[in-house]
Amino acid sequence: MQHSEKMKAIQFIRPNAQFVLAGDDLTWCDEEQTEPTETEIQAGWVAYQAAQIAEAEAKAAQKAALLDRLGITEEEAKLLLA
Amino acid sequence: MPKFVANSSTSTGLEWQAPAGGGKVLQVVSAVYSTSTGITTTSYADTGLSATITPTLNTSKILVLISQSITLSGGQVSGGAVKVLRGATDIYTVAGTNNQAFLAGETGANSYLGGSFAFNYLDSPATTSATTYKTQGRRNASAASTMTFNADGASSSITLLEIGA
Repeated sequence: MQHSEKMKAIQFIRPNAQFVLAGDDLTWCDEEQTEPTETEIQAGWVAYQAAQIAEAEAKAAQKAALLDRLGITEEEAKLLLA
Repeated sequence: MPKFVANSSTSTGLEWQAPAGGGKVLQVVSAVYSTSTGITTTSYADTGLSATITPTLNTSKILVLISQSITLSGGQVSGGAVKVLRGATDIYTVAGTNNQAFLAGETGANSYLGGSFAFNYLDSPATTSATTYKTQGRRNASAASTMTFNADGASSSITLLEIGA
């Protein structure tokens, strides 16, 4: 797991937590939330990716529904906005 | 420019004036740090960048040259600050109106801002003991953002020059 992925995973499972991640070395500074285990972080990364996919799919569905209501295609919407 | 000065002990009563020692670089120490370090704390934490110099004279000045790779991300409105320390003493802090922010901006949830930033400071440590210079960073209390140093393979450097007084 890359450093940026681990950062995102920790922040996903412990929102607004205070910590320092130097390479793989995690220093936990948060007094309100517990330090996650390595297993929780790994699971957090999987959950984070799933949430990103779900968010992208939801946006795509909203966009398709809007185009459907307007009765135009995506290309036609682009032409209208150009 | 060299010039003559009076000296009664010489046969001519004159001698070349000894060159001034001030301004000469007596010693150079440098270090590079490339470990990615993410900081989400609202109090200052070490970035990992540091270097130690042992001045040869206690009248020397130390010119601290820092190039620090900083990325700010994660919050809708992000902010953070960096400071330079000699040992445990702050020698260079950046105070601003936005909670002493050094960096601030609107980054959004999946975007970031950053780059390589320079800090230059002329210090007078007045010691001949080993002296460590380092940087620390923190995010703003009001912004749920992250400061990452040396993200994605970037590196930071610190160079210490001992300058004769």
